[in-house]
Amino acid sequence: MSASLHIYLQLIQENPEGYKDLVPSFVTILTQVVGGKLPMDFNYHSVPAPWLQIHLLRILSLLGKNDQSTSEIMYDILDESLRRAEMNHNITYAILYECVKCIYTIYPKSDLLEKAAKCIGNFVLSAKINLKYLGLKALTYVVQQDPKLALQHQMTIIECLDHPDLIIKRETLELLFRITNDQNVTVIVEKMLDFLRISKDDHTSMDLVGKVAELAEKYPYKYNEWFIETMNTIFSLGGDLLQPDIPHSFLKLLSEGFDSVEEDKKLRLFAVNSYISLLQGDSSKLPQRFLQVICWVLGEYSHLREDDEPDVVLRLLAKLLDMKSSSSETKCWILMAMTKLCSGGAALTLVHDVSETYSSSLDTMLRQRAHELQILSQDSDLQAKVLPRSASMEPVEVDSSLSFLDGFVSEALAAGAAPYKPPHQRQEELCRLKALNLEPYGLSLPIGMSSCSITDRQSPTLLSISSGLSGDSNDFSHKGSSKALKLDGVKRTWGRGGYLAQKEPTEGVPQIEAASPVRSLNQRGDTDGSNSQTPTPTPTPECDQEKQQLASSLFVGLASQSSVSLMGKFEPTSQRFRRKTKASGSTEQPTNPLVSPSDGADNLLCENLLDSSDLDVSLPEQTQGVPQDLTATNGSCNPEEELADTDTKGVNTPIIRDERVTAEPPPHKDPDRSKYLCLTSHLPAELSALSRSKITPLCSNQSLDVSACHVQKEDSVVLVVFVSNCSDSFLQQIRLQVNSEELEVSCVCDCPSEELKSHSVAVCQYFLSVRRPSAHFDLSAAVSWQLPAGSPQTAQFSYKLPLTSFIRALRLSTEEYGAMWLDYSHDTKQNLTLLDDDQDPLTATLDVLKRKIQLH
Amino acid sequence: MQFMLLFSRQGKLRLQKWYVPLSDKERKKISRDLVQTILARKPKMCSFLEWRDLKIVYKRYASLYFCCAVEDQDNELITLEIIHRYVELLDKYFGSVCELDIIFNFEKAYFILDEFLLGGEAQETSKKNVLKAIEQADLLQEFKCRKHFCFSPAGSRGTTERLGRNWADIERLAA
Repeated sequence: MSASLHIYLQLIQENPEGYKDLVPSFVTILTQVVGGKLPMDFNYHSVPAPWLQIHLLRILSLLGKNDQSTSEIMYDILDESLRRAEMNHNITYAILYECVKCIYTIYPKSDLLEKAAKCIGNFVLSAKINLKYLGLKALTYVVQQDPKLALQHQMTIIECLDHPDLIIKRETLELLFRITNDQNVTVIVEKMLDFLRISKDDHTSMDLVGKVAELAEKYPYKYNEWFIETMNTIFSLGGDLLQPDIPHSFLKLLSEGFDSVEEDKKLRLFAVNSYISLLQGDSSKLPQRFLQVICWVLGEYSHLREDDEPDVVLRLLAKLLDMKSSSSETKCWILMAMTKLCSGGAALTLVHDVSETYSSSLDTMLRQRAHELQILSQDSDLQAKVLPRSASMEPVEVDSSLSFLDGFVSEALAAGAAPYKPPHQRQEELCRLKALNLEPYGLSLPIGMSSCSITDRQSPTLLSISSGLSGDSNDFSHKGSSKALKLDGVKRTWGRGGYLAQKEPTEGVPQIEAASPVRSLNQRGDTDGSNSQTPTPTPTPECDQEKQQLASSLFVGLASQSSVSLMGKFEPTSQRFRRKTKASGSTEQPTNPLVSPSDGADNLLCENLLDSSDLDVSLPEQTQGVPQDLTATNGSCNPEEELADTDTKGVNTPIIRDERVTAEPPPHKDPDRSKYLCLTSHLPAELSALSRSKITPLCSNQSLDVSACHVQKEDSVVLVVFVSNCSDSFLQQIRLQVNSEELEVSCVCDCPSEELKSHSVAVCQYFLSVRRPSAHFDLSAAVSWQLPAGSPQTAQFSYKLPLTSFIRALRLSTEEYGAMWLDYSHDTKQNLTLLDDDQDPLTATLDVLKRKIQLH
Repeated sequence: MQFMLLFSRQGKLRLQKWYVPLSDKERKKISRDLVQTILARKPKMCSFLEWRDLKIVYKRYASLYFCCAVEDQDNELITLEIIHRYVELLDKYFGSVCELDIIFNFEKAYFILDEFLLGGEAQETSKKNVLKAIEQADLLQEFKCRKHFCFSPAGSRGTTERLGRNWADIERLAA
C-alpha cells in the first residue's frame, strides 16, 4: 500500500479533481495508521508508520485544496493526528509539520488553524536549529493568510535575522519578503541587501536580487531616491548575474514614469546625477549590465541637467569607451548614448575622434554604431528627426503590411518573378505535385526551389515577428520592433501596458493611525521578547531596545489596518480565480452551440448506420413507409440538422417546405410555420440556448395541438411538450402521460395549470434517461383534457428519438484518454459452439451471429 | 529524492545513488560542489541547505556524512529520518557499522539501500523486512556459489581437493 501511495501522490498532483472520491478511503487509512492498527514492524521510534502518515497527509492536502466538502471529511483525523503527535522526537515533528501544512492548505477551519498556529509557534521557539528552520518555513507559508502570526513571533524573527547560519537568515528574509508592505519596505530591503553583500552562492544571490528588484519596483513612488539607490546597489552587487529583465523593467519604469511629470523629472534627474557621480569615481569595477543601464539613462535624460554642458557626460562616456574591461556590447550602448548626446559644440571633435576609431572596428555592430554617430553628429536636423529628445515614450508608427516594399514587389513581378503564395498554398501545390509525379528524382528540384522561396519571401515578416516577440509587451511589439531596428536593437522597446499595471493601489495610511499600532507593537514586542528570551541568552537592555526598534520598523503596517492590505493582496487573487472560473463557466455556454454542429455531424454519420431512423424524429407520421422519400431526405439531412440548432427559422423554411410538400397538404404550411415560431418562444429560457431538435407536431384536433421537441442538455435530454389550446374556450384538467419501454421518464414540470386559456400554450418538461440502449427510442404518450362543457377526451401520440440524441461528445485531453485507455477497451470474449445441423457449420454460425449482433 | 551521497570527512565519496538521470560529468561536479559546501559547515548549523533549486539534507554520523537532495516541497525532517533509518539498517546488518564496513562491503550497503529506497522514495519502512530480504539474498548468493563449485568441471586432482576444502569452509561459515 505504501508503494501505491507514491504513485497516487504523483497522479493527484497532476489532477486532483479525478481522485476526490478516494478521500474517505485515505482518511480511513490514516485513521487506522494513527490509531496504531498496523503491525509493530512499521513503527519507527514508537510512531506508527510515519512515512505512510506523511504521504497520506500530503495527498489529503492536495485533495482538500479549495474544496470545502472534501476538507470537512478530514478535519477530525487532522485534529487526531495533531493530538497524537506529541513533541518528543524528530519524526513526530515531521508529521506535525506536514499536518500544519495540510491544515493551512485545505479549506480553513478556525480551531484547527489555532492549533496549527500553536504548533508553528513551538517550532519557531524551539532551540533545535532544524526545527527553527522548519518553523520559519511554515511561517513563510502561512503568513500570507495570517500575517498576525508573524507579529507574535517578531522577536524570534529578529533574532533569526542575526543568526550565524546563513540558511536560517535566508529563510527569515524569505519570510520578510512575504510580509513587505509600503511602510516596512525600506528596512526589509536594507536587510536583504546586507545579506547579498555577504552571500557567496550564485543561485541564492540571483534569487534574492530578483526579489529585491521586485520589491523596489513595487514601491518606487514613495521614495524616489531610495529607489534609485537601491537599484544601483542591486546592479552593482548583482553584477552580471541578474536576470536581464531586471534592468529592462527598471528602464521601463524610468522611461514611462508615474502620474506626475514633476516627480518623473526629479526621479530621472536624481538618477542622472547619481550616475555621473558614479562614473566620476572608479568606474572600472562596475558590472557591464550596470554600465549599460547608466549609458541609456545618461543618453536619454542627461539633458535634464541644465547646469552643465553635455561635454562632461560625453567625456565620461568616452572614458568608459576606452576602458579595457568594457565588452563590445557595452561599447555599443555607449556609442548609442553618445549619438543621442552630441549636439554640436565643443564635443564634436571628441565625437569625431571616437567615431573615427570605431568605424574601422572588426565588430560589425560597433562599426555600425560608429557610422551612425558620425553621420548624425554632422547633421543635426536628421538627428532631431531620428532621435527626438524626451520622446522615447511616443510610439513609432509602423507599417506592418510592409507597404514600402510594394514598389519593389511590383517591379519584381514585372520582371517575371512568381507571385507570392502563402505557405499553405505552396504546401498544397507541392502535395499535388507529389501525387502526380511518379518519378522520385524529379521532386528534388521543385522542393528545393520552393523551400528556397519560402525562406526568401518569408524573411521580412519572420524578422518582424521575431523582433516583435522579443519586445517587452505584445501589443506594442510591432511599434517596438521598428523602433528597435532604427535605434539600438531590442533595448528600447518600452510598451505601455507593462509594469505599472501591477503597481498596487496605494492606500494612504494616515500617520496618526500608523503611530498607534507601532506603539502597541512595541508593547507586544515586550511580552514576546520576554517569551523568546527564555531559550536564548538574555541580551543587554540596549540591544533589546534596538531589536524592538527594528521589530517595530519591520512589522509596522502588519497590525490590524494594514494587515487588511495584505489580506487584500491575497484576496484579489482568489477573487480573480473565482472570476476566472465564472468566466470559463460562461464561455462554456456559448461553446455548446459550437459543439452541436459536430453533434449534427455525428447524427449524420449515425443516421446512415441507423437507416435514417432520425427522419422519424422530424416527421413522425408522414414519412413512414415512403421509401423514395428516404433517399431524398438523406441528402438533405445535413442542413436540416444544422438548422435544428439555429433559431432562425427563416433559413429553415426551404428545406422544411420541401419535405412538407411531399407529406402535407400545402395550405397548412404557412400557419404551421408561424405556429412553430411562436412555440420556440415558449421554450424555457434555460433551454433555449441549447441545441434541440425541431419542434414537431404530434397530434392535433379541433381543440388541442400537441407538439414536442427534445433539448440536448449538457448531461441529459429533456423532452419538451407544448400543449396549445387552439379552441376558443378553456380546457380543463389536462393530463399528460408519457411512457416508454426503453426510457426512464421523469417529470420536471407538469402542465402548470388545471386550466388552459384559449390560444395559450402549456409547456411540460420531462427528463429522459436511457434504460436500455436501442437504435431509436419510442415514446408513447396520451393527453387527456376536458372542455368546459363536455366529456373528457383523450388523444394518443408517439414520439421518436434517435440514439444519437443521448450521445454526448466526451471531451478528453490526450493524457486523460491515455489514463482511461484500459477502461475503454471493451474486449469481450466468448466461446461459440458451431451449429452442426447445417451443412456448412461455420457460415451458418456466422450468419446467426451476424443476425444477433446486428452488424451492418 | 534526487540523489544520495555518502562521503567521509576527508571528502572521499563512499557511496552514491542517483535517482535522476545525469551525465557523469554533472554528477562529479555536483558531488564535488556539495562535499565542499557541507564540509565547510559547522556542526551546530542547520542540517538543511538550499542548493540551486534543490534542498540538501545532510547528517553526520561519526566520520561519515550522509547527504540527500530532495525537492523543495518535500519534508526535510522525514528525509533526515530516512537517513537515520538507513544508518540503523546498516548498523543492524553489520553490527555497529563503521566506515570500513561500507568501504569493504559496499555492495551490501547498496543492496540495503535498494531494498529500503526505490526510485528515491522510502519503500520498505519495516526494518525487519529489509533485513530479511538481505539475508535471503545472502543465502541465495551462497547457494549459487556452492552449486557453481559442484558442477564446475574438475581439472586436476589438486583443484578438486582445494574445492572440497572450500566447500567445507563455506559449510562451516553457513552453520
